[in-house]
Amino acid sequence: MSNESSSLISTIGDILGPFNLSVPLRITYNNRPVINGCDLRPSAILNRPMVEVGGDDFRVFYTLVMVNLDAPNPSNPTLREYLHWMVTDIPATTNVTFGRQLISYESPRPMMGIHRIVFMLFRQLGRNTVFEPDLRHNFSTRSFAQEYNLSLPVAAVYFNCQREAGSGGRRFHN
Amino acid sequence: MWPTSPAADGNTNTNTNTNTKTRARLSSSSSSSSSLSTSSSFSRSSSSSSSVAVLQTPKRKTMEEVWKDMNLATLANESQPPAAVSGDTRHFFRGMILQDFLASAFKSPPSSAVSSEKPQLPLPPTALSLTSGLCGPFGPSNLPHHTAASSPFSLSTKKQNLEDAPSCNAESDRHHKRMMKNRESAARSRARKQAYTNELELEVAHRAEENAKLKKQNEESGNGCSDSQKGFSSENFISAILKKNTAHLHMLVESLDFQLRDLGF
Repeated sequence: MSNESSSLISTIGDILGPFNLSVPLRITYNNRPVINGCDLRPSAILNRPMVEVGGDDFRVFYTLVMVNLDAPNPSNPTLREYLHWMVTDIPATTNVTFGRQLISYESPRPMMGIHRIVFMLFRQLGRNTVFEPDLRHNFSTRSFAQEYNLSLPVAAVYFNCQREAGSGGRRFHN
Repeated sequence: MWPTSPAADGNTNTNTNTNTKTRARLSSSSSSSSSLSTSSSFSRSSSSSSSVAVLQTPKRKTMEEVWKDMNLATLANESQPPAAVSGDTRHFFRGMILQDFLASAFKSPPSSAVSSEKPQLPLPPTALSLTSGLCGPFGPSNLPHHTAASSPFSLSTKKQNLEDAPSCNAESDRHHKRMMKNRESAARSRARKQAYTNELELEVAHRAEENAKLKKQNEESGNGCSDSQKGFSSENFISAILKKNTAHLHMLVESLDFQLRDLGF
């Protein structure tokens, strides 16, 4: 666990941390699971993913938040954070389809640079305690969590996204 | 080589190699307001040192000529109003045009600059020395103005190579900004790479652990019947998972190997 959190902390921790990683979160786009730091192009993430949530008691409810940390441009992230998706009241041990969508899924379309897109899971104090924010852009996950008593994120997964024809980042050797 | 500017303190050693020194002297002299050297280099009607004045006159003529040519070129390239004002103000106005000209020389879009670029680029180095020389025509009343005008030029050329086009502060700022942006981008790239390597290592460790566990389970279920298993063939099930995991493991180890090789291990 410590390895996992150290990589997360270094990549997204200064904006979204600290974390309290304790609940399994599995995100799959077209049956392919998202691994931290993997590269997904806009074509692969057009539609909302399947999100499976761990835990043990389905009377516990979670909120899922999906944000872009580098909108519109990692060198000049004036819209940080951009809210792509928000689902609340997800019962533990189930998946996102059991929750209530507050902000509809907007598929990321980065124009410039390589963007970090993060999913975070928060444990709610109770059902129906989280309400939708006004705007997608300049969202602050931290303040949002504070406002609705969500405490620290119990799970986080992120991936890198660049424009379809982009050639930045990791070089493939095969 | 452009004509050398007159020495501020009256020394006639105007070697081409000592251009920077001359400029340094000029910049230091431009900051002082009442020194003899300042007035001797800037004032046309200086009576302080006749020898200096004599020296200045012939050189100034040459420079004036070149300046005229350059100004004409400027007017041809841009739609600046002609310097029709007379007297000291005219020279001062020319000074301002010079600054604007130099500033716009770098801001002009590539499409329009194709034809005009050639005449512009070789001129600015000349213009620089002219600036310091142009201080001659300015009266002492204009001193504060052209002090501001000349010092950025002299200071900035000290920073950059004389072969390059001269820059005002905006250009070096832009360069600096670009450098910082590039550095940040490189840092992000490194962070991404490191994070990915970490993830790979983690997953390799995870899968290896799972493999070990499953192998153990396989052995156990192979040797004796296990009550916890359901009706289907648990052995095959476990072996299947084991196979899949091993394949994944191999893939991950390969990836990791490439990553580490990249990093120089």
